[in-house]
Amino acid sequence: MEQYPILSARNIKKSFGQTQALRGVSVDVVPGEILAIMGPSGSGKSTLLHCLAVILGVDSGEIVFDRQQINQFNDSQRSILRRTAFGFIFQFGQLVPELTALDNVALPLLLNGKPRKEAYSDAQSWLDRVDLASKGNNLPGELSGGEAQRVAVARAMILSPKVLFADEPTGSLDSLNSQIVMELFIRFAKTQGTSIVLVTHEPTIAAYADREIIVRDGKIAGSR
Amino acid sequence: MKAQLAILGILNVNPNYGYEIKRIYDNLFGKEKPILAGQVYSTLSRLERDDRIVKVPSDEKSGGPERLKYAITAKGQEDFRIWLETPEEPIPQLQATIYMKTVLAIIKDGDAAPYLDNQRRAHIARMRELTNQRRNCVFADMLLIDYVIFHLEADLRWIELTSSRLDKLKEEIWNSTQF
Repeated sequence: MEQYPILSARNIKKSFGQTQALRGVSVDVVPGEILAIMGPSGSGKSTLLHCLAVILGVDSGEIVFDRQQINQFNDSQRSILRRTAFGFIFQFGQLVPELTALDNVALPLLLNGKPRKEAYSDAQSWLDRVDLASKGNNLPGELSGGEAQRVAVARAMILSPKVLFADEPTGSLDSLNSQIVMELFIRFAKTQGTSIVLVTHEPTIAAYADREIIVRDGKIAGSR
Repeated sequence: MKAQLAILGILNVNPNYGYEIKRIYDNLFGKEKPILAGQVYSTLSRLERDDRIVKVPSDEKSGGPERLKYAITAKGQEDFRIWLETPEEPIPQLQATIYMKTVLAIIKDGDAAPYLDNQRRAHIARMRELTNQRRNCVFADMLLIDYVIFHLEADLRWIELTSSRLDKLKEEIWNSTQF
């Protein structure tokens, strides 16, 4: 494992109006590491993930990815970063409802300008890997929650992101489907050397991570 | 062992009489099953023999024979501190011990959050070991591991809930128990 972190936050602060959501958080993620961010509702854990992924800007502090200070990127640079180096999985999959499972998985490649034929071939191979080869033509509404989330895993991993951000990825699933989804994306991440930043309030999900931090009242518990 | 450390925790607040120690213990931990007076005094004897507590004269004037209180020694304080700061081995159904430590951390430091965070880390570390083990075992063993994981999860949910209610617990302890 390389020594320098792939992603770092240095003393980041973020407020929404009068509410201080993050009050000086520093954290490093090394390449290939799976980091779980835990904490009670309202503790700031999802805000931290959104700041690390530069979906949200920070009020102060630095976010460094691959030795670049990405919190200073403009909208277009951030957008490219999110389309090429970062992957995302959210609680409810957030698949495009009008597109089939196969279309959804191919979408990131098409947005990045990959030829259609190659994009669909790659997408089909990713559907095979998540054991949904036969569901390519189904719309998201025709999939179970577990299946939809597996499609979301395939869509997130198809670009071989350097960092995968997962916000309560199994929050809407039962225990069995949670295990299946977690095993899948941990296996893929380990194979491809992708780092994962995983927000969860579920200890059984945090147990898949290499390390966990606990956010409480906008700070990492135990930090000063 | 647990009663012994709980008694040290109670004496860590201030020196006290044997019967007062029993009253405080019952109020904090023995509402359903009070501790026997005999157990309190035999525990106090053992602690005194092992230099964890000493008898000290009471400064209360009653006119009668001099009464003695029990006071914690530096060795006793050290034993109590180490026990409190060392997470319990994560095995299922530890609630009674975790609850006792939470209460004793509150009366010692006014805050049990660091203690609960330590325990949470120890539990998650154990769950991580089990999660890794289940990946490489036969199906029957996998089910047994799931059983342990879900029981540890129950403890963790209790830790989480308690962490968010520490202020209320603290208020109740200080209002209901005179040390």
